[in-house]
Amino acid sequence: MSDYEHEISEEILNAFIDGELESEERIEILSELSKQPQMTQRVCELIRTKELLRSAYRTVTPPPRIIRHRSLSNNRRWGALAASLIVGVLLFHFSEQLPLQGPQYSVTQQQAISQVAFQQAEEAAALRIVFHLTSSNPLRMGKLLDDVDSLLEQTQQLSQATVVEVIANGDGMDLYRSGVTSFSERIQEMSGDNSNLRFVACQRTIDQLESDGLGKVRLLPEVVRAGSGISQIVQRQQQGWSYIQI
Amino acid sequence: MESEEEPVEIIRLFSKSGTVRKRIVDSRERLFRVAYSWCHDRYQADDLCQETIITALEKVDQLRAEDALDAWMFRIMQNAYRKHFRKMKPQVDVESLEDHMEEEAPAERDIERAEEILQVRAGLAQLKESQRMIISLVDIEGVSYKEAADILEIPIGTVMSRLARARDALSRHIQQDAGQHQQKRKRSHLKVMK
Repeated sequence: MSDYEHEISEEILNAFIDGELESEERIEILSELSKQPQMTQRVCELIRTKELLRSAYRTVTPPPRIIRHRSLSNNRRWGALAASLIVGVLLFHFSEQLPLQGPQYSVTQQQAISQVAFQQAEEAAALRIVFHLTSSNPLRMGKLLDDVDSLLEQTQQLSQATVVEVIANGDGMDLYRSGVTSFSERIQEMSGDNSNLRFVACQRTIDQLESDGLGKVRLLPEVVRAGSGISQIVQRQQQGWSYIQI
Repeated sequence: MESEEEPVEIIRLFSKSGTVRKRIVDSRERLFRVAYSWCHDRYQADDLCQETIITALEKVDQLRAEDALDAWMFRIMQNAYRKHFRKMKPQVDVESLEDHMEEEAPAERDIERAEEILQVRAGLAQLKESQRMIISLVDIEGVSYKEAADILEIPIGTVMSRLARARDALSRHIQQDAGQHQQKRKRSHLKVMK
């Protein structure tokens, strides 16, 4: 490590430049430095490396993320009015490409009406929960759906307004993949029974799967897409949603 | 998750004060610098930060003292990194490092300075993972040895020896790279003169 002779170890010299030594030890090193030019040189090298490293990452900043803040339920009447207007617009344009893009989701025509219903449920909900699935293990998927079912049932019994979002990314995407999942009927049924439940797929995972050469990824018709599952979860948490990972 | 405990349990679990949650979300930049220095891939680093933030929000009730928040989050991040991200470790090449720099502040576009930064980053990328992790925490984020020991879950003696080896190796890599660079420049100069 070094080609000079002294009693002070490299570890201690490093601790010295990191300001990790007690005052007595510092004084000892300082007096050694005055006697040993080679050691002084070594200390300078260490400081230089430290400074180079620190400054080489000073300008590193995270890529921009679009976090859209929704104003939640300030005025439910306005929300309901807006929702019914959207339904009107939708019905009018039903045969055309859907003009509406939800604030966080891309939706197909078929999903649009249930999206409006979900937003209304969200406005009214006291309990908002996001489930996160990252596993392709069918046992976990089954457990997740069981948990969602029992939660929705319980809260309904308690008359507690609730919304649930199930977000899948990574390997969890298999739950939503048409021709891959073994839960298509169950998802269809759950989605049909509960307007306050939404299944969300991470677009980033889909892009990744497609670029891995899996061809076009087809999702169940009940599933809506969010740009990034992870961003969606962070946003939900910022909005005060509860988070459960399965 | 025990479905019998809901929904009261859920409400209780997520009732931590908003200020800590905000601090968690706001720590993204600091986390990112270190995450990037570990993997040298902007998107992977971004995912790593997001996962760290989510886990921290989820486990916020386990945080005992608010002033330990930063070290606690770095510990979460190193666990996530070891668990999920290390497998996907990309082959870092200088070209990709150069691409990343394009996205950074224009003040750093000065060519010589940019070269120096690239040499340091390429040098860091060549270190052993355990060395890279510790030197980033101490030098880039300025965490203390004690905090580094807590974050990486190693004894303080190991912090000291590993850090000393890391700095030594980094400094050698930087010098080596700088030497190669100079050679290259000399060669290209000769070419032009011909």
